[in-house]
Amino acid sequence: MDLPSFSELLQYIFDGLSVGAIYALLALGLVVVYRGTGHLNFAQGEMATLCTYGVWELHDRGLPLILALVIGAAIGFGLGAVIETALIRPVAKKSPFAVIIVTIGLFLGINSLTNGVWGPPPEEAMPSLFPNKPDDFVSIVGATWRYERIGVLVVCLILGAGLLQLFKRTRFGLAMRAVASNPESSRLVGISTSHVLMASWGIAAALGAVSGTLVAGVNTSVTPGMMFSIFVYASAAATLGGLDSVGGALIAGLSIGVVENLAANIFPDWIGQSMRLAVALVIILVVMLFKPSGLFGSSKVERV
Amino acid sequence: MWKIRESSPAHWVLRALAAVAVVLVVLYIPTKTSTSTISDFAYAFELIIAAMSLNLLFGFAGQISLGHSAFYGIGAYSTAILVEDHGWAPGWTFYVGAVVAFAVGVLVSLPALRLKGVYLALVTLALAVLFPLLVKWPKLEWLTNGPKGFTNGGYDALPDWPFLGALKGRDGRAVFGYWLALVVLAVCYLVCRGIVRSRSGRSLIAVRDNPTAAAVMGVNVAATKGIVFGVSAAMGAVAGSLGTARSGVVVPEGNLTLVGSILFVIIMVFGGASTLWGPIVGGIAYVLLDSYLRDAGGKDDGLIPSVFGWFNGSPASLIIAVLLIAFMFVAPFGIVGLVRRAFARVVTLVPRPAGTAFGAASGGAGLAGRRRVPAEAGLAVAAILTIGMIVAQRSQDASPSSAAGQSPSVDATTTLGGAPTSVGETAVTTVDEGSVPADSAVDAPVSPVDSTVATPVAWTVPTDNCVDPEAANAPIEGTLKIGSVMPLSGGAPAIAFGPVADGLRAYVDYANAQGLLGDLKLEVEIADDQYSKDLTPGAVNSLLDNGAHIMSGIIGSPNNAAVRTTLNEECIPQLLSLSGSPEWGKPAEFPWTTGVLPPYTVETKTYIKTIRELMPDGATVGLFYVNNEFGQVYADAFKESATDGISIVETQTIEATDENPPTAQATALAAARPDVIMGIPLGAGCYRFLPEIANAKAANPGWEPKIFLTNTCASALILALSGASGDGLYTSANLADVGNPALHGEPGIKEYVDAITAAGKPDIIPSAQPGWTVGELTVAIIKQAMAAGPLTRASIMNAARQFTYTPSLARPDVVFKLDGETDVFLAESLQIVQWDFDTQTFTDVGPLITEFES
Repeated sequence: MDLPSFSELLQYIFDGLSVGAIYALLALGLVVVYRGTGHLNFAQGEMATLCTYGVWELHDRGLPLILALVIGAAIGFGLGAVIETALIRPVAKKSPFAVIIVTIGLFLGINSLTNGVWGPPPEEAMPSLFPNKPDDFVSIVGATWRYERIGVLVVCLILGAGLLQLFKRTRFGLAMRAVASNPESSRLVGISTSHVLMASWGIAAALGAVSGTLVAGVNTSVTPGMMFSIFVYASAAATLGGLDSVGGALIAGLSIGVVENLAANIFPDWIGQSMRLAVALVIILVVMLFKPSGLFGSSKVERV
Repeated sequence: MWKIRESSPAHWVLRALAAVAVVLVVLYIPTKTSTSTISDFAYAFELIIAAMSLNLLFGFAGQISLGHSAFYGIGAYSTAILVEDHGWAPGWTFYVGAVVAFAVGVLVSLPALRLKGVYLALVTLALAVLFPLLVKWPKLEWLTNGPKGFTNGGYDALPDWPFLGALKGRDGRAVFGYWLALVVLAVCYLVCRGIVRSRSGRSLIAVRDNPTAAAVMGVNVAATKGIVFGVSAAMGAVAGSLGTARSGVVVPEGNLTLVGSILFVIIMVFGGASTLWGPIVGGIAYVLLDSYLRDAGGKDDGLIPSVFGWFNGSPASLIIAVLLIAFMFVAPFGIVGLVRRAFARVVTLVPRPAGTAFGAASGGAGLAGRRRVPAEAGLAVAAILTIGMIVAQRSQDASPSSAAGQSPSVDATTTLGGAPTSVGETAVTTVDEGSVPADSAVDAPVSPVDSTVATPVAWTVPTDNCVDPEAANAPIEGTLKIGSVMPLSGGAPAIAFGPVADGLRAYVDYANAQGLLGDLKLEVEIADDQYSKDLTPGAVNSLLDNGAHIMSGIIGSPNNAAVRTTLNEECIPQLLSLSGSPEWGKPAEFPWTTGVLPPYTVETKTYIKTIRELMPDGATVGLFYVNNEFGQVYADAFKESATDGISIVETQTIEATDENPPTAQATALAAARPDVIMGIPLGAGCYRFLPEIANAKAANPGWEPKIFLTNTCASALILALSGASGDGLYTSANLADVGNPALHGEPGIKEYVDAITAAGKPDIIPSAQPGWTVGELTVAIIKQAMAAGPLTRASIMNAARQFTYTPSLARPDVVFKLDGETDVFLAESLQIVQWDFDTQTFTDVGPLITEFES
């Protein structure tokens, strides 16, 4: 095994942060839903893809990309709220398992829908929010970092910080925390639980629209399956960070990006590109085995 | 309202009626229905076993699992490895798979002991995604054969006993497979029933409903969970073993991935979780619904296409997803729950008053305290079954009429015949002088050659060992039906290859309109397998049931491999397989199978020759390939030919399902600074890869590699997406660049462009080309067979193997040629071309490379 030089090491870290930012963004959506409702949304990635197609359609009709993204995120918010009210809440009363099935059904259905409606990918070419010509990069000690990737990381950090503030500093955040810890009591003190639940799904879907648009920009086009492997990484990030911790998801997403990229490049024979995903999966297994509440999550104590 | 007491005579009558109904259905299917229904049910049984194993865990123990595809995969691989690498009889391998899966299941249950709900879902999800990665892991390649998987995993070894059931001239193994799956299903049902209705079953339900209370009552929660996890995993593995035996092909795709786990959940939910009969009802409902929807989606008229006209391809998975969600609302206990509710309005079953647990929400009809059929009985049946299969294996080895004994009757003298050179727009029968098949075993005068030609055919396909030799030699009159299997729904493959189906249909219409075959009318039916080799056998069976005479242009390597044995034994031509695997050039083993694409071995040699010409002093190569069967076979072919001055300095891969750009791979390739990048991506990888290389070039000034890209990616449509980054890349082609409007007036191309435009799909002109060409070649083969004598399946095959033709969409001077065992690949000439981004066309580089023609 050749030890990487310093600039190579730096390069791996930059690349890792770049992909990690995308994992973290989607993981934020998972965490918001989990905090609000205690469910894991298996359709988070596909909902993001659907919203991204919305953004693409708007942009294709002549709207500037940034405006299309804002409208797309708003539509995403509505979509998330509708899905929560119409599909999730009614079955959540029956059993938590039913919610898992419904989100799997959404995953399958949205995936099939995007394939069916937008069919052949060639036309859905997506511009990037950031400069992305081949020579749009900054060079630091021999390592390069593309402007576009830096942009994604910055967006991810801003959104993460915004969410933290939302949860910590606002009445709405307080209501969300109250509903998550005890829905019955919160209802008694006058919190509208249904609004809080709808809003958590809405925020998650809007975050999905942003992450999907960033991914499509990096990919240069929207494709139906573009969020799937990202979803697996994002769930690893959410698990590692603790399913209910925003900061945890951010840190875990970025570190998984860095760790898997370092592992893949430093051990090309044992891990390499083909086993990168396995690194994330092993992280899920290990965290679940030893500390299911993750690094920053709160562990639940069950009353008998 | 009618009340009956449990175990009263009336109850027994009801039970007997139900049992008779089940027996009648079970007997009716193999005796009265078509082979495709039989194989659909065999597949349903396999899925039912997997769903049943999931139900045991979830429905009765409350442990959700999205990882059952991994257990299924363990079974599938155990069988394939033991049969193909170690020569075992399939029967025994079921046990090995089950034992391995049991151990893994118990291991997985360790975290499961502490987890529930979404946490357990996450752990098992990780397992499902991890399994195919582990199978493809280079460090395990010695065991699992990497992404290539296995193509000979036990189907051959199944006996084709004349079991109860109508063979109708078809392969007896379809019927054997049905009975085998049924018996295994019955065993698994009894095991589940035994567990659920025993003391341990009640412990399970107690653990599910309230683990803490159960522990207090003295149930060993950890042991109960661990063992049920193990048993469930073992049962999932048995389903996987059956899956391997059903087609003999195992690749780390389809049901071995998360897709399979989701499928098992769907079946359990459709039928009814927590009920013993749920998975059975759900499995049958799912398979029938799915095959109906895929059929309907491929047609132009009918309810489904008229409602889903706006939808690309078949809406099968959308409808199933909607149903899945709807079931959670209206029928949380599935179809069985609905039926039970309806039934309860008519009949109430009064449980026996003895001290039974009351109100157990198991969904099982009252938990009587005694043991019913013990699980041991199931094991005994399984043991008998295995012994039976081994005996069958032995007797089959001894029998001369076995599949392995089938060999084509080609005399060595044929190889002496000089290669004929006649080339033309029309099919020309090329017959060698003096190559008389001396093998008198070929008694069937397959294609009585016209006495004016007077030369005997050099290569004839054997028909003696066909399942039905008469069918192989029966004259085809009036209408000839061509069958094909292509992905028409289900995501990216359907999008990429759907136009091929349109191209094939367009040519058949054209041929009929032009009367190219005189009075013979052509029909074409294209079945949808969603690019999943699990569905290909069923699709082919349904085509044959619908009267297809030949198969042509089946897409995909595992897909063709999954039906090759059946088609060869039944002596049905499997013409022009659309896959570049060298597997389709084995006339000695598989005389009825031919391919149409240039084999990867030829394509890679062509590139290496070009690299040598561009860089006479040697070159370093960075290899980038998709980590699946296609990429692996291709990369191996490249590595094999890369000798003498050409060295591979870096190898990077990308997953076929990963639609994100290979940034890290490009960085790693750039770090090695190779002179040449050989790209073998697939689908989205084709156009994601080039911009990343361009970025890496910008970051590494002075590095200007020449880029070679497999011609699978080389369509104008795909390359346009890569923008300027694809400019100047090298690829190869043997067909004309029909995407270039300048060529649209050329003879041959004009007819094609007109036909596709008339069909209302001008945008698929670049991508429908292979379909049109397969159609044209098929028609030419039939024409040649008709010229040589009566048209039969055998004469078509003989024509296909002695065939020289230039398709109208081919580049100038390209000759497609097959000649018995001398020349086994149709297309071996390739033109190196360079992509010009400005004009969006390909320009020729050097002359047509014909030196790899055999």
